[in-house]
Amino acid sequence: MLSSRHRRGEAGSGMVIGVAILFPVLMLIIVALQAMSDSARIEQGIQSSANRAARAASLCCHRTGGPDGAQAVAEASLRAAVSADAYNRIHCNNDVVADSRIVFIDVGGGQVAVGANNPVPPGGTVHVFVTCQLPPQVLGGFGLPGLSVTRSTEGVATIDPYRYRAGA
Amino acid sequence: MTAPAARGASTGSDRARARAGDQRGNYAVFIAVIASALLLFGGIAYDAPRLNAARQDALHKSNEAARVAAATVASGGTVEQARQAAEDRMARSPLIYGQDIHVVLVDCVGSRVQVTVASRYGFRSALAALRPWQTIEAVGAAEARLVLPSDELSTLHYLGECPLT
Repeated sequence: MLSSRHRRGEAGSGMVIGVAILFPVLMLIIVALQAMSDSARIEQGIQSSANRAARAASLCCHRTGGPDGAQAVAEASLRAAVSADAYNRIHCNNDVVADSRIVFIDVGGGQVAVGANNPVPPGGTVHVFVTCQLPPQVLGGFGLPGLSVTRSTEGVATIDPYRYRAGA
Repeated sequence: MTAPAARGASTGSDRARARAGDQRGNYAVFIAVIASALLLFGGIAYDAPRLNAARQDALHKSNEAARVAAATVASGGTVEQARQAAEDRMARSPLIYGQDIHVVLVDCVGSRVQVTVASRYGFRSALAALRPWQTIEAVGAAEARLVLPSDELSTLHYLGECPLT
C-alpha cells in the first residue's frame, strides 16, 4: 500500500517538473510569435504610410521642390503618419521625415532633381523610401535580443501625365 | 491443477493493472499535441498579418494600375495599350514582400477605368504544408476627367475607347 502511494507520488512530481520545464519554453515561443506577428503588422503600417505619402506627392503639385512642392507634401504626409492622433500610427525611434528619401523618376527612367523650379515628371513616378527604427518594446512587449528593429520600405505612385502645365 | 490456474489468473490481472498504471509515453502525446497546436497557431500568427499587408499593398497597386490605364486611354490609347501600360507599371514595383503582381482585367465604362490585379502570397510557416500559397486579387478604379486648354472641365463624360454602358 505504501509502495503504491509512493509510486503515485513520484508520477505526480514528474508531471509537475515536466510542466515547469515546458511552461517557460512555451511562453518564449508565444512571445516570439507575438513579436513576428507585430513585426508584420508594423511593416504594413510603414508600407501604407509610404504609399500614402507617394500618392499625395503624385497628386498634389506641379513642382517637385519649394514650400508647396511635392516633396514638402510627401514629408507632411509622413509627419502625419507618426503624429500622436494618427490612425494606425507608426512608432519610430528615429526622425522618419529626416531619414526618408523622396525620388522623382521620369518616363525615361532618369531621376529628376528636387527643386522649386523643377516640374514633376509627367507620367513618371514618385518613390518614397521610409526607414523606421522601431522601439524594441513594440515587438512582443519587450526587446528580444538579436532582433533587428530597422524596417525599410518603398512606396511608389504614378504621376498623372497631364499633371504639369507650364502656366500653372 | 487449481493452484497454477489461480496463479496464472493472478499474474494476468497484475499485468493489466501494471499496464493501466504505466505512464510512460504520456509526455510524448502531450508534446505532440502542444507542438501541433503551436505550429498551427504560430503559422496563423506569423502569416496572417503578412497576408493582410500584401492585400493592402495590392489594393494600392491596383489603384495605381487604374490611374495609369485611365491616363493611357484619356491620351488616346486603346484599352489594350492601357492594359500594357498598367502591366509595365506593375512589373516595376513588386508587392511588399517581393511578390510579382499582374494585371488580370482592364475594363472601362464612360470615363471610369477599373483594373483587377492578381498576385500570390506564399505561406512561409507550417501553413505551407496545408496550402502553399494564397491568391490575392484587388480591384482599383480611376476616373479620367478631361480638362480643356482653358483649364475648364470638358463636358465630354466618356473616354474615346470606352463604351457608355
